[in-house]
Amino acid sequence: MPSNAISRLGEATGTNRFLYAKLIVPLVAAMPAWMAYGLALAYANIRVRSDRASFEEVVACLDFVFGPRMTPGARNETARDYFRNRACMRVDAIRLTGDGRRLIQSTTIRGEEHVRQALKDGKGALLCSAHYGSVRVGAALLGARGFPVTLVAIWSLPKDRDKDSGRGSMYQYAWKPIEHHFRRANIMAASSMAVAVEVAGVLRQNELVFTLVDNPPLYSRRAVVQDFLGGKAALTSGPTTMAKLAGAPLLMVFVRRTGKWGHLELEIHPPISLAGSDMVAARECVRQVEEAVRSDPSQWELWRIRTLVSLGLYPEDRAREYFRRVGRRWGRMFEPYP
Amino acid sequence: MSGVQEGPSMEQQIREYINQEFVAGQEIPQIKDDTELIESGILDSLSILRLVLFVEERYSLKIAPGDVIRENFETVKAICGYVRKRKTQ
Repeated sequence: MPSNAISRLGEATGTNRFLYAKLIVPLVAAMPAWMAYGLALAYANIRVRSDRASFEEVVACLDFVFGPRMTPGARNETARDYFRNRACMRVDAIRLTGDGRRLIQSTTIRGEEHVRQALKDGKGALLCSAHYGSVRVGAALLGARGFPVTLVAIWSLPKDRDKDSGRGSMYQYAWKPIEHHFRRANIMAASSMAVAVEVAGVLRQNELVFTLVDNPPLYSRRAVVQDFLGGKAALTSGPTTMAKLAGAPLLMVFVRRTGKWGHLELEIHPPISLAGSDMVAARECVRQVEEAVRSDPSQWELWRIRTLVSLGLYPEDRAREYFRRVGRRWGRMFEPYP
Repeated sequence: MSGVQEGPSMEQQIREYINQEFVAGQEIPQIKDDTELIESGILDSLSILRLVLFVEERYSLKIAPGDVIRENFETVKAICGYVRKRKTQ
């Protein structure tokens, strides 16, 4: 039986979920860090060798954005690190189970005083980040540190999208071990017309809302074209507008993996000025994200051609041509939420 | 003549706010009390937040996120119906 079919059968019967929760999570959580991250790196290395199509796709994205400024050797190394980072993210999440002490001990936190000050001022804070580093784990880690954090996320994809991406279910249960660190259930991004009202409601309770600014427009109808990574990308300006309307400070947060694979650095920046137009603040958010991506491209999660097409960075005809050339099915692009 | 001057109705106030904040400058006609606000794209998640903050301040109400549903916000008439219902509760 092909491995894909086994995986689907496991998915359909709930065996994958059961094995992950009852076997993988406790086993990895009990391992010393060097062993857990070592296994993640070994898994990533195997994936790089066995899933050449995905690896080549990441390389193609890097080539498109950085061109000759990144040598072929550096592109391959960055793409390899991309898969290593993603594998390590799963370990981060597992090490944050329980009270999260294991991961907190191996994380350097900077700028926590900005969050404390925001809560002291009584209007909560909108924490903004990108699909960069171990971002979801970083948000949960703030919860484990005792901060009242709620995440705006899309952890539960509609059924028809599960079939399309083939990762819907895994996507949900891989983050299960960290869910209890959040104060409230996720605010499901773009799932209803009340998302912004829900965010404002949480901020009014003097709590923290954690969101991402580099979501492709399918998750946000309020996308504006901005300079990003040498091109024009459609990115959301929603967080800046929400912070302004709610009177809450907007803090950028980055959760980087440092040289050692098992070590994270969570950095909270001082509040972004919301005095001018929403667009000025939105541009500053995007500038900070771009700076982070350029400083270590392997930590950005969105190096996939279809995602870059969704963002408007990668021309669709060129992307379709790439898929044709490598013999992959293009499928349908996601439609924006109604 | 009674000499009593009535202020603008709730419908007028909300309609004017929406026209001024979300319609002005766009290539869409001014809204009426029964114009579909969500279906037509005049209101999205963020503009609904702005509208909620306006209604809360103007009519001294606290609107729970659970009340922000299509039924209560699809037209000016629906918004006014919701506000009146809340005021009498």
